Order: sequence, then C-alpha cells, then structure tokens
Amino acid sequence: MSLKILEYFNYLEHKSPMHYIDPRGKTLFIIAITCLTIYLDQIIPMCIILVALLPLIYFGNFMKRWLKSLLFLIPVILLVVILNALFLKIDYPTTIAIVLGLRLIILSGFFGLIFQTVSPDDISQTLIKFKFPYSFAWAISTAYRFIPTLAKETNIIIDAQKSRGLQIDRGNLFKRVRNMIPLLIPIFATALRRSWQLAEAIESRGWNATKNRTYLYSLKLKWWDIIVILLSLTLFALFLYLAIADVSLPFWMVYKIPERFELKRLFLIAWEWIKNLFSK
Amino acid sequence: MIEFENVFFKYDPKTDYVLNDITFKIDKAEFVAIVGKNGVGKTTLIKHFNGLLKPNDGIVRIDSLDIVKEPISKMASIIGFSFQNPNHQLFAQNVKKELEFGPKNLKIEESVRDATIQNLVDTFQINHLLERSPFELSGGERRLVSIASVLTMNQQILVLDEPTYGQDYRQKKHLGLFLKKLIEEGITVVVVSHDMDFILDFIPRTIVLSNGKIAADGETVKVLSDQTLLQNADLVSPLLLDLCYSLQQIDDTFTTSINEQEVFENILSMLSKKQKMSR
Amino acid sequence: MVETAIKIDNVSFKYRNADSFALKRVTFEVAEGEFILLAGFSGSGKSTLLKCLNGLIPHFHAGRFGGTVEIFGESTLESDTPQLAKQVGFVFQNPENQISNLTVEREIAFPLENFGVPKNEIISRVDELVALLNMEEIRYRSPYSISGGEQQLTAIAAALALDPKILVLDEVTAHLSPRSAVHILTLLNELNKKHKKTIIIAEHRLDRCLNFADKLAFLEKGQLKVFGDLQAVFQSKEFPTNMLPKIPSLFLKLDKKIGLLGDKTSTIPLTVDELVATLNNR
Ligand SMILES: Nc1ncnc2c1ncn2[C@@H]1O[C@H](COP(=O)(O)OP(=O)(O)OP(=O)(O)O)[C@@H](O)[C@H]1O
Ligand SMILES: Nc1ncnc2c1ncn2[C@@H]1O[C@H](COP(=O)(O)OP(=O)(O)OP(=O)(O)O)[C@@H](O)[C@H]1O
Ligand SMILES: [Mg+2]
Ligand SMILES: [Mg+2]
Repeated sequence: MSLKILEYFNYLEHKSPMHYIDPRGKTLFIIAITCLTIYLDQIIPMCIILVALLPLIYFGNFMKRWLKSLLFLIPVILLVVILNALFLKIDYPTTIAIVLGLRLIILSGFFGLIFQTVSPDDISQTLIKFKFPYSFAWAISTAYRFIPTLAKETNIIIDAQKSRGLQIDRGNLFKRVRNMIPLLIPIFATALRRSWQLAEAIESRGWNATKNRTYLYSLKLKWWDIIVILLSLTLFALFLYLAIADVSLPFWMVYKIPERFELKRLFLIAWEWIKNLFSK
Repeated sequence: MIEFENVFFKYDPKTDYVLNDITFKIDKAEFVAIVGKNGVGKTTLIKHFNGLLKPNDGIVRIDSLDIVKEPISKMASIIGFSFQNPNHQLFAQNVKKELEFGPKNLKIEESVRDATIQNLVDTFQINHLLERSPFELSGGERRLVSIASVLTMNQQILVLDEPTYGQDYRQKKHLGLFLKKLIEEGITVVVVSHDMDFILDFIPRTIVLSNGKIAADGETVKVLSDQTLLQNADLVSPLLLDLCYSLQQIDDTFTTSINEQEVFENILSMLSKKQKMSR
Repeated sequence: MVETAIKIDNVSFKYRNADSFALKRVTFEVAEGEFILLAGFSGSGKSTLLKCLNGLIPHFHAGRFGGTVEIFGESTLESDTPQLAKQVGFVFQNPENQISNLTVEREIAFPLENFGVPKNEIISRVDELVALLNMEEIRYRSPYSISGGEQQLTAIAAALALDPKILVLDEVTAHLSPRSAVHILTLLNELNKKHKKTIIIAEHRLDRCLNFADKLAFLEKGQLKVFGDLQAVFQSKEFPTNMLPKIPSLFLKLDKKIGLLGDKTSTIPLTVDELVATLNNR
C-alpha cells in the first residue's frame, strides 16, 4: 500500500549509536551537508560524500531500509538522469545529470537517517531549547509520534469496512470516490476522537498549570556532540568559502565525462546504427 | 466450516511467531470462545478467518475454501466480522444508516434487510438510538451498534472480537441469547472475550491461546476449571464454577453445574438434605 | 469526624448537540476514604458524571451545566482543571489514548513537570510510585511496547503523581485480560485501605469489586436512582434485578424461596466465600 511510504519517516525505536547524538548537532550537520551537496557539481566530490555517508547509515541501523527505499527511487532517478543528459543545453550535460542523480541518492540517505534517529521527544526538546512555547513543541512532537499509529489504524479501518462487504476498487470513478467515504470518515473520526481523549487526559494531568514548567530530562551536549557540531560548522564554513570566494576545486576533483562518452552522442550513434541496420 | 492446519504467522520476520503451529477445526453451527491474555494473538488468529491476514505457513480453510486464494470481498459474504474497536467502522450519519450499510453492500433484498434490522433493534432495545449520530453515543452504545451492524448481514459465520466489553449485564444477556438462537439456525459463531462469566453462561466450547499455541481446546466447563491452565494463560475461573467448587468443599455430594438455575436448585436440595440430617 | 470529599448537588448536564439531559438533578455526597462503585446501564451517564468531578465538565466539554460539584468544599466552577488535577486523579478506559510520553517514567513525571516541580523532587516521587506499584521492570520502556494491563498501571501511576486525595476511574479494566483486571482492582483496594485514597469507579463487572466497595451509586437515564451501602442498595426495590451481580442475585433468589434473611443473618453475602459461609452456617 501507499502507506508504506509513511514508514520511511518513522522514528525507529531500536537504539543505534546515531540515536545518541544530540538532535541539534544532527540538524546542523544535515544543513551543512545539504548546502554542500547542492553547491558542489562535480562527480568526485559527490562520490566522496556518498562514501562518507555509508558508515553513518550503517551505524544508524538504516542500511536495509535505505536500500529498500532506493529500490523504488532508482528508476525515477535513472529517468531524471537520462532526460537531463539528453536535453540539457549546457557543456557536459551527462556529468551534470549524473551529479544530479548522486545528489538525490545522498539526500534521501541523510534525510531518511535523520528521520529514523530523531525521536519525537528530541524534536520537542530542540524546539524548547530554541525558545518555542511548550504547547507548540508538544503538538509538533505528538503529531509526529502519531504518524505510525495513524497508518496502523487506517489499515484496520480498511480491513473493518472490507469485512462489511465494501469494495474499494470496483465500478466507475464516481462510484470509487463514493466508496472512499466509509473509509475516510472513520479515519478522521478516530483521529479526532483520539486527540479529544488525549486532550482530556493531559488536561486531567495538570496541563498548563504553570508557566515555569520543569523537565525530567532535557538535552545536554556531550563531548561527541561538540565534535559533531564542530564538524558541521567546518563543513558549513567550507561551503561558504567555496561559494563566496568562488575558488575552483583541485584538478583531481574535477573529472568530467569525456565528450565522446556523452550520452547524447552515444544515443545518436546507436540511432544511426539501427537506421543502417534497417535500411540495408 | 473453519479449519486451521499447522498455521504459522508473524508480523515481522525478526520476531517470534505470534501463531506457532495452530491446528483446530470448528464445525457448522458450533459456538466457540477464544481466550487468552492481552497480546497473545487472538485478534491475529481471527483475522485469518476472512483472509485479512494470510498464514506464513499452513492452510486455513473456510467453508472448504482456501483463504489464500479467495478475495476478501467473497469472504465478506460468508463471514461477518466485528472488530474490537467500534470507532474503526462507524461512519454513517445516523445509527439506522450504519445498520443498513452492510446489507446494502451484499445486495440483500430490502424486505429481508428491514426485517433483520427490526429484529435486532427489538432484541437490543435500541429504538431510541436509530436517529442519533453514532459518534455521539456512549462507549457501550457505540460498541453495541457496531456489533449490530455486523449481525444485520445474515452471514453463515460470525466472528466477534470482544463483543461484551463496555456492555451491561442486560445487554450481555440479550447478546448471548441472540447468538444462541443463531446457532440453532445453523450459523457458526466465534467470540473472542475476556469475560469468563459470559463464556460459561453461553458458549459451550473454549479454545485457550498461550504463547502462540493452543493451550487447551474443549468443553468450556472442563477448560475453565483447570487451575494451572488458567494461571498460565492469565485467566481466572468464572464465579459460578468457583461457587460450585467451594460448595463441594463443604458438601461433597453437591453436583457442579454451569447453569445458574440448576445451581440454584442444587443449593436448595443441599440445604433441605442438611435440614433433614440435623433433625 | 470524616471530611466530605465530594459533594454533588443537583447536577444536570446536557451535551451541546444532544436532545436530552445526560445527567438530571444528581445529588449525593462522598466522605473521605470511601470506595464508591458507580453502576448503570450503558448510556446512563456514568462517564458524564465522572467528568464532572475533575472539572472536565463544564470547563472542557461544552454544554448546559447546572448545580454544583464541590471537591473538599471548593466548587469546580471556581477552580480550573489544573488546580483540580491536584485533588482528583483521573484514569480513562482506553489506555492508549491517555498516554502522551515516550517512556513510562516520563509519563509518570508529566503532571509533576506541568506543575514545575524541581527535577530532584520529580525523581524521588517517580521512584516512590514505581516502588509502590511494582513497576521497576517497565520503568524505562516505551508505553507502546507494554501490555494493556501495564499501560493501565502506568496511567494510574500518572494519576497518582500529584498525590491527589481522590481517584476517579472510568471502566479501567474493560480492555484487560481477567488476571490483569483483578490485579488492578486489588491495587485500587490497597490504595483505598492503606493510603486512604477516596476512590470512585465506574464498572460493568461489579462482581469482582463487591468485597472492597463501601457504597454503590446506581444511575438510570441520567438520574441517581439508588445510593448507599451495598447491602441497602441490593435490598432496595429501585435497584433492577437484572443489574444484580451473580452472588447477591443467587442469594436473594434463595431467600425468596426459603427465607434466609432475617433469622440468622441480616446481610446479603457478596462474594463466593461469604455465600458458602452463610449456607454452611445454616
Ligand atoms: N499490525 C501489527 N504489526 C505488528 N505487530 C502486531 C500487529 N498487530 C498486533 N501485533 C502484535 O502481535 C501480538 C498479538 O496481537 P493481537 O492483537 O492479536 O493480541 P490480542 O490477543 O488480540 O490482544 P488483546 O487482548 O489486547 O486484544 C502482540 O504482541 C502485538 O503487539
Ligand atoms: N459527546 C457527546 N455528545 C452528545 N451526547 C453524548 C456525548 N457523549 C455521551 N452522550 C450521551 O450522553 C448519555 C450518557 O453518556 P455516558 O457516556 O455518560 O454514558 P455511560 O453511562 O458512561 O455509558 P457506558 O457504560 O456505555 O460507557 C448517553 O445517552 C450518550 O448517548
Ligand atoms: Mg485483540
Ligand atoms: Mg462510559
């Protein structure tokens, strides 16, 4: 089902070393990496970042899920790469297209990793540290936490209505849309009821009793977080340096697919060849 | 009617089996209870009845159809299925429309449908709820409506997941008697429940699940009087049985019964015997 | 003298969209330390009445509210729900929908955090509650990975965190397997007897609570029909026979036939043991 996509954004409870890194560090890191990845437009730097990403994904216990999600992404990425290589009107279109593909793969890995290892609590604590009001932080983290519950519940609702003889994929378009009603209403109603009951419960536990709320746990930076933050800042500085000073990369990093391997050219050669084959 | 042959099932390849080699058979017009502690896999088991879940290994046959091969829409015409949480199925503007939804899907004739609904409304005395929105009912009322909305479909097999929770004594009795009548009409009923007293009162056969296996399967009285079994499966014995066994302690001629009326009479005869002795 | 914990005076309530009143002129008093069973057919207004006790009605639910509810002499109309949370702990039926934190420990700490209790005090209070309810094993677990019974235990612990004098529970055993249900009820009895909590609980399976409840309130269509000692209630004509729990029901039937009450005993046995003892003594 399409709900599988939601799984990609789920917080994974299995603790991995990546889980112990402060969410603020992780956020900084992903900002720096994203900037770098988008700015750099050469194949070799991309490959370096990709190689650096692999151990992180491995230690985040995310390898299997990432590879699985790539299985779906790769066809899309390939299409994007081929179309760009064929139709981009600049020098070295194939190189640029490949960089684009690598960029997508890298970003999917980093963002997936962050989503898997940042808990809803981390999110709210981060927001609180940045001086957002507690109720806002709570709402965000609770919404995030209920994504998997919602997905599970939706499946049960589909099951329940199917058992009452509802046929979702039958009939013309109008009928199909109408058949969605018995699914959509309980989905919204349960979500609504759940939030009401939750609101009742927290109300009964002294919600908003005082402005000076305390916390049993709050985020504290450990030595490894400092390292992560320093590393992120270095990467970010590197990005700024490259972008502002407009320096050129060392020659060994600038590898371009040679003219004779341009996809467009290969394509034309193949085309000629096939034409010859038939004209004979 | 319902056949499980060495069924294995787990949700996640990394975990243990939730159903670990389950084999049993339920005949036509049988009335069966499935019990076990929270999270043992009762809901998982009954979801195999209409193919909502498919076994990893083994065979499930319903009415001699292999559920792996049949579409759920077909199973829906054979099996009525009431889910644990009423909120997962209520959607209509009012209770009446909710009750009509299933029969309409199965294209049941209008006159038959209306008669069935009227019968149910009378049995459960829910006339006053018909025009109300299902979302503004009390917890117990919602549960009752969700059960009734499945009973309207007149299927050959009925599967009810915890139908008695939130129900008062009166409604439990109505439900028990109604189901018994269905059994007499040849319908097969399977009930998952935590309510040992309800089971003893109405359901003759009980299957106990424990650690993914069937820990016991047989006559309800026998199953529910096995203390070690109950202990292991996190169950308690029904009050009436408790009473009978305690009475046997003071008078070993006291005959155990699972019928309240019979227990009543047995106590009367025990008391009169005692009176004669003391004279 | 025992203090009055809850005073409900002429309380009526109508939900916003409803045609009729869910509560109609309900009046009764609960003394501190009592254990009250709230019984009634489905839809009779039990949950509605309980929600009046901690101010969810009328502060949280819209509708027409009349009468007064006083908790230790203070009207719920005059205090807000957080203040009432200190007096009244509330546990709901559905364990999943009342838990909002990622570990059991933090769920227990949540009310204390809300009140700005210093961190070291939170820790010692959580320690205390975990010990009291025997929750060491699940303390650091996620509430989503524990059993229904353990979730309900967590909810009770959270309700107790602010050390309220009154504990209100709405069908808390409905989703639990029988042994967990008995465990929870036994625990409530202990909280009542040992820790002097005033407890008021809505239940459908009355049988298992009879041996430790003091009083029973019976609601019908929003009206309080009977309220009083279990003994008085079960002998009252207002109490419908089809609501009677198994043992008292059996005894009263026997009594009708051969007259058990009056000659040697004037109390109705409530549990299996009591009934057997009564029959044995005859
Ligand atoms: N959709 C699911 N995905 C993964 N695991 C699940 C899913 N549904 C249930 N489980 C797990 O399978 C086990 C059996 O669950 P099931 O719901 O069948 O129990 P149950 O006997 O019906 O419990 P209860 O009495 O609480 O209703 C539990 O450990 C549960 O956590
Ligand atoms: N949100 C609501 N809006 C309108 N009416 C409601 C609402 N909630 C409950 N009611 C109605 O108020 C009455 C009392 O409901 P309440 O939930 O208090 O009953 P209850 O005694 O707790 O029942 P149960 O045993 O089924 O839980 C019922 O008639 C119900 O239909
Ligand atoms: Mg279940
Ligand atoms: Mg209720």
